[in-house]
Amino acid sequence: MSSEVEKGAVSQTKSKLWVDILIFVAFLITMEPGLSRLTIHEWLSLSMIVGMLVHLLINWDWIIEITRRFLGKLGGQTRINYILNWLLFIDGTLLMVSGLMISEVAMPALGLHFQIGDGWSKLHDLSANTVLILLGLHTALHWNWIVSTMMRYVINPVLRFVFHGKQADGAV
Amino acid sequence: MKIVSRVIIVLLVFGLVAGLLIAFDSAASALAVSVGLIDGPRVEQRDAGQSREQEGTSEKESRPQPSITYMIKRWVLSTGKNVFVMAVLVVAIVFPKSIPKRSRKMSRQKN
Repeated sequence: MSSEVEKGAVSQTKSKLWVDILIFVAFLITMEPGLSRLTIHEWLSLSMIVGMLVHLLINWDWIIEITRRFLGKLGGQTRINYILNWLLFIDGTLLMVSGLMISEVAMPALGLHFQIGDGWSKLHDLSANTVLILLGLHTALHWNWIVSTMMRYVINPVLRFVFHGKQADGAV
Repeated sequence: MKIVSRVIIVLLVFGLVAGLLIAFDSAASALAVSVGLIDGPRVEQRDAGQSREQEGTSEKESRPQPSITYMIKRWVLSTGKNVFVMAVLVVAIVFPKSIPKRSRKMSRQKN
């Protein structure tokens, strides 16, 4: 029974890691719309909504628990982390909404046309830069988890595979 | 069922935040126009059937296309810049936090 629980926790941590890596790579690609082409930029950004949904669903229990305990006793870092996550969510929403407003490919393809001024474009740039900073802070606060999980599930297995493979080759 | 309800909750919160942001933006811009801080929205005259995409393609056609190696170099540099910004923040937060741990370790080793 306990091994099943352990296996579940391991697979959840693994899926958390891979979802986060995918979101991060997609974020880096979408941050350069001039180079990744507008079509890729817009559709990839829209598909990131799904990535964010999965990220929130995986961390659902933490969100609910901290929301309940927020006004009570809570560690300083957890409180900062929670506030930062909300800021990231609000800024991400602003980034998404302003992106939809100034969309030149995705929204027209769906038959939606908005009449907007220059303001949304400036807001999109500003919110993108803010997301970069907030994401840096988010990464910093989860740095220990990132390093330990990367070591456990990515770096160590790769090293084991490489060296074990070499040893096996040497034995032959 | 549990997952569906959670997805709906997240999307509702997303919609609520988005609605609030749009309402705030509309109110702020209307106020700024009425006070005279900014001009009203410019309505562009377009020929019937001419979309922004078509304008874009004619602009793109007249512009020379940069080479792929140039594009890759620029992409690597600008992505590197974004990663660097995040890395600076990570170092600025993680490094000061690790100093007390290190000093504790050092003092334990000395003892």
